[in-house]
Amino acid sequence: MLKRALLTGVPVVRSLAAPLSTSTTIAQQQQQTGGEKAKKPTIWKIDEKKREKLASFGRYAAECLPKFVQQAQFAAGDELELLIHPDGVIPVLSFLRGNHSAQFTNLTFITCVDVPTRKNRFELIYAFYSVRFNARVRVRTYTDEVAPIESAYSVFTGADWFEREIYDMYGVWFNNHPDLRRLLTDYGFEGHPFRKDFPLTGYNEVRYDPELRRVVYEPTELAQEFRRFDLETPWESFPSFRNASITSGYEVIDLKQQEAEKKQ
Amino acid sequence: MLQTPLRAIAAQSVRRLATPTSTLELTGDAPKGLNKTGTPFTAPNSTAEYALARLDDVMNMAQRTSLWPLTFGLACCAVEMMHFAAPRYDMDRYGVVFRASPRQCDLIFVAGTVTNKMAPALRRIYDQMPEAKWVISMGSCANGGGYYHYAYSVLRGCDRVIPVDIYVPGCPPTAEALLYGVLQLQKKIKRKREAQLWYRR
Amino acid sequence: MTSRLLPRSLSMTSIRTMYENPYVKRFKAKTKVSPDYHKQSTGLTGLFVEEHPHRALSVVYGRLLRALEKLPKDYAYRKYTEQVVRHRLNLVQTETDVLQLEQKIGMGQVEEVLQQAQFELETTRALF
Repeated sequence: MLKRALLTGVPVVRSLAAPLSTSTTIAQQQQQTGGEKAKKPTIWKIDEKKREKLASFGRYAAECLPKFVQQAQFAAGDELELLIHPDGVIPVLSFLRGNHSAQFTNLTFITCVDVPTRKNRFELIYAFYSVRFNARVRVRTYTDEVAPIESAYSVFTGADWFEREIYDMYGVWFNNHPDLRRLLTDYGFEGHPFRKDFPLTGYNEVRYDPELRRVVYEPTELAQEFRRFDLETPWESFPSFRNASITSGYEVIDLKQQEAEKKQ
Repeated sequence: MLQTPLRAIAAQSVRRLATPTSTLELTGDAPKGLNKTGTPFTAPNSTAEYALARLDDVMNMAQRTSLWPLTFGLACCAVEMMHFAAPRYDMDRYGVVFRASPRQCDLIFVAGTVTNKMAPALRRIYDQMPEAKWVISMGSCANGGGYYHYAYSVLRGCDRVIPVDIYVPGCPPTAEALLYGVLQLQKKIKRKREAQLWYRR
Repeated sequence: MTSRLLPRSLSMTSIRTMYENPYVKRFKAKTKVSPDYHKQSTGLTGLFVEEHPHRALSVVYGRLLRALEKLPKDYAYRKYTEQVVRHRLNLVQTETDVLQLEQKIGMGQVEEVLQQAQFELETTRALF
């Protein structure tokens, strides 16, 4: 009855295709050519073809969504990051999930970074993985303590607990979230622990009171407070990076040059 | 053939029980402070106390040789608790079998970090245990906050909410250390004097 | 159109009354594939076989093209997506054998192609 139950075709992927087989053949060729590569320390070998494809995808995404995508950059030499405006969360995420040459259907995580010195102190990071093309991309937005961000639940259903955790730990409010309440902290906990101005030991601690016969919350009193030892070396660790700024690790993809080339 | 030696041993033990021996008689086998039978109640003052001491012995023996703990593994120490139950440090041979319900157990291993959110639940479970209960606090997180002592959401020691009998140090304590802790608890139970104190009052 | 993508109201994570058994609801009323269709299963979990893929695909591609017309004409996204959709629609209309069609499109099972088209439709609708 079952004539040809399973499809046996091998997909010919386009645009972002970077099958893993190319990197292994490159590695084999390198092993054959010489011991020069073997003497170098074991660091991650960046696949240049894949990087080129990711760069072209970054430019493509910026071209398709010029209103929201502000910058595209490579983080660790290999990881594409798209920096977008917070209004564009739903369009950009929907584009990444739906577009035929993107197909980032797997939401890997959503996190937040607190940089209190900036005006928009929270930086939201969404990470995606495309099963079809074996590619990863990160999307970064920014927000304030009071400005809400659109919830990604309408695009990715798996985003709800990540956003609940971010709300609980940082205080970032999400619009149109189905169930935004605390996730990890204690039931009557006040405050957002992962913010940089929240102290390590917190404000309240717990004790059992035998008269009231239940657990009570009292202000924290530690016998010995947290000691921070400066165990770093007195010599400078990275003298060659003394004047490097904090954003120098990112390699920005040139979006405008491509457009100029196209127009010519 | 075997009957006469058995009868002789039985006769000797009955004779030994009938005459209370004092601590001045140091025998070769028993350690100091214990009788030949191993009881710590070595100098009863009257016959009533002697009887109650024997009753205490029996009760303590029954309680310590069948300690039934509650599975309260919270974090990584739970794995060492599992190792304690595994064949190498088999706890079943000491009579220690895990029970899932607090109503049926008399011991609780607090294994792992107790957070503020877990503290009322821990207290409630302790209250649900029937009387004659003991607590072994396992690992440094349960002893005094441990690795996470300075965190905002960690209870700095489970002895803030429940009274603890034995503290087992370690991060995590090896299964052997937990075994040693259980054995020490058994010795503590052996020293218990419930019936004699009832008589004195 | 026989589509297998669950709308939100029927998914397991939406708000439901306690009398609805989610497993029964999800797995009960699946129409079975007719026995002489050459593909009984896709081999992928949760991806059910589409019996009339040409019809379904042409419907969704038609919707996509109509939705794309609402976007401005010189918009890059519109240009690229129309290119892709027209190419695929062409393939669907010329190739009648399903397995050959899957090989020519090159994006996996034809049910997956259908799902990609539906996601693209949602994207286009989210963009204006």
